[in-house]
Amino acid sequence: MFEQSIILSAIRDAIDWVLGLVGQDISILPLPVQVVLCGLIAAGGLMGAIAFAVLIYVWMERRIAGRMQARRGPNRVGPYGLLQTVADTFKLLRKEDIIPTGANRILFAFAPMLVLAGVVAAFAAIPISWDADKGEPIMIADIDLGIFLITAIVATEVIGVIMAGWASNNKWSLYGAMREAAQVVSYEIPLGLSLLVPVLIVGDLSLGAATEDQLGGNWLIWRNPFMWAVFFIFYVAGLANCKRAPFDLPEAESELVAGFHTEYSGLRFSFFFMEEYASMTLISAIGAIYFFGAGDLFGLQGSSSLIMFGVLLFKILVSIFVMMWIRWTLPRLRIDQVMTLGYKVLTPIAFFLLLGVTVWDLYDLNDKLWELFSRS
Amino acid sequence: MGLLEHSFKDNIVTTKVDWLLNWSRKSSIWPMTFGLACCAIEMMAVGAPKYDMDRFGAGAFRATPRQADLMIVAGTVTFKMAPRVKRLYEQMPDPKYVIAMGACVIAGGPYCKYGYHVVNGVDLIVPVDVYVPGCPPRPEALLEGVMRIQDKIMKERVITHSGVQAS
Amino acid sequence: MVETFKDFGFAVKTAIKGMGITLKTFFEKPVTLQYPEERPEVDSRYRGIHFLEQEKCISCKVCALACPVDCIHIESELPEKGLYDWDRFDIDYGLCMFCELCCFPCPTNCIHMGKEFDFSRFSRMDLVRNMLTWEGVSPAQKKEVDGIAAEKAAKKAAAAEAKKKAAQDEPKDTQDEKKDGE
Ligand code: SF4
Ligand code: SF4
Ligand code: SF4
Repeated sequence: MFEQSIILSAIRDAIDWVLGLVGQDISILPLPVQVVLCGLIAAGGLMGAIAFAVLIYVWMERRIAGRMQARRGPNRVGPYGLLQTVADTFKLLRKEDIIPTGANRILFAFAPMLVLAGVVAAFAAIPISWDADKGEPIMIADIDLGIFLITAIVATEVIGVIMAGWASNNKWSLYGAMREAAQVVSYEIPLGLSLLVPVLIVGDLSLGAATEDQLGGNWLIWRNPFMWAVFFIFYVAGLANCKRAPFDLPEAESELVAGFHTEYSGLRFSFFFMEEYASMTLISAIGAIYFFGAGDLFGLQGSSSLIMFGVLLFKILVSIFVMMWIRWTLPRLRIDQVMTLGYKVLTPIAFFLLLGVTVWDLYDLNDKLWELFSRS
Repeated sequence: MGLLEHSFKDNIVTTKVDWLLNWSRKSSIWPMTFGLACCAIEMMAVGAPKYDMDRFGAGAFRATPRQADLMIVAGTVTFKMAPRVKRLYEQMPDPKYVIAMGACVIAGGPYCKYGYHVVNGVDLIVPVDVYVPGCPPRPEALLEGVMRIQDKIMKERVITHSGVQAS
Repeated sequence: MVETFKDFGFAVKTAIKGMGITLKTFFEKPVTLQYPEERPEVDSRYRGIHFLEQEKCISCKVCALACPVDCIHIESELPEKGLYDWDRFDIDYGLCMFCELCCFPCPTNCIHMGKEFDFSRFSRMDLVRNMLTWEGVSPAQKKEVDGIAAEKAAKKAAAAEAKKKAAQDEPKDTQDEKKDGE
């Protein structure tokens, strides 16, 4: 268990050190207790990191939206409006918590947590850096089925959303939830197909292997001419999967009040809010790891895992900036356009690209073309 | 928070907590997206680049009353609309604030004398915190109204009791 | 199928164009006016809160009659010599719709639309603004009024004096008259 994960074993060492202060040793705890304890600490850290990231993202989003519209955005709450999201958070904590009379109380309370939990859990399989000494990725759980697990866990989010829509006992919520179901399920096909391509090239489902494969500037995006198109499909499908504009139909204000979270107020609403930003980060992280070389900066980063983490973070932030840029530029699509785009455009293109990449790799066309050019 | 509300004496800790809660509330007044008539156009202008309500942290217009803190009643409240306005107000979670924007909303405005269809003042149906006169008010006037709301929030007591012990 | 792909290509093209525009705006200077610190220049014909030139007002109440929503309230007594004893000149800004209809008919052209616009209040009663810049009379006119009052008093005194005198003088006068008559 602990051999698989640098982070978990680090946490275990820390517990060992703390117990050492009272003259004890980690071996007094039975193994399951150790695992659960370390897991809980890791989960808490992950949750805290995501909450902190969301604070930054929301501030970024509002400033960027402001500048894109030639206005200033929040600038009176703290320097440059930096405390804006902190104020929002405290306010949301203070708001009255309303559960509608006709709502199914249990599902209503449970849905936001399920929605957030799915996305946060997926971060466990994301390598945040690379340990050059041990030759291992730094991540919470280096699972062999990495990307498969991530897509599977993230899909549970849809269940949470449908639960929220159903439990609210509100027409708009239900419509929003149904749209979400239709949209996310149909966009998972091109998303999954476009993720198959890098998996095919790397030859491993684990994201840690992908990180290793791309060290030294050997990014997957340069591997063959189809990759940019694959990345485009991945990005569009990813946008649709995290319900960002122009695919924010489940919460379209102009038709559906606020979609599936119409009836949610205060803290419960902030869970949905966090989920959106967390899944943006997740999609950006997968994009950076599978297409743009994870923490690699053409080998310039040396062997420091901290710098690699910084580089990965920078790539994620760029991707999130692009998402915000898209959101504040493009109008929302109609639901039939969304479905057409998913089934009639992205899915066939994704199949074609998968085929193309397979053939390219099968006949090793990279080398053959290189020979052709170097001979002439 | 319900239990803790107004249940502490004034001292350095509780007043600081009060200040923090009030500050957070003041800095993120999310208005509700709804407009009833011409004043709403001016309300939209407040969110637009020239005036930019987002500078005060009040730019996140929420479409659902469940997530809103501030109801800007912008436009003629007709008798047909009045029950809806009241219902929207009741759907908002506490703490909530109301700005009456424009002559129509404050007292019936152009319709007060002969209009058979206009509520003469939205304060007959919902409690109003700040009145912003004008027909329509300039966007700056609405911003000033929001600043008055902020002043009002800063004077509130959240966990300290206001001299009289709540029973 | 071909149509769909054509549409998709068109959508991508237009989306890229639009994103170019927003990116350009992103690096431009915002146009925002930081309201409480920077105040806007209002137009010269802007219709804001009224101002009243009280010394010119003759309290004819034509403005109150012209107002379509009856939001001007004037109460005054008509004294002598063109000076007014004001009880009240209020405008209810809860009702006023800034239509300027009160300004046109004023015979002395003394009520105008001003430039002030931010007048938010916590209660509806506070929206009623007293337009009288000075109670009854201005300092300049105060002197005049005092002068008039003094003059009046003097006149009265003089008249009384004259009457007294006349009463005193009456017998004499009659005598004189009689004399004259004789
Ligand atoms: S106050 Fe004037 S601008 Fe506002 S809604 Fe009424 S008539 Fe329209
Ligand atoms: S501007 Fe119009 S509504 Fe206002 S006091 Fe003058 S006449 Fe009346
Ligand atoms: S119409 Fe002009 S002069 Fe007459 S009462 Fe009104 S302001 Fe005064």
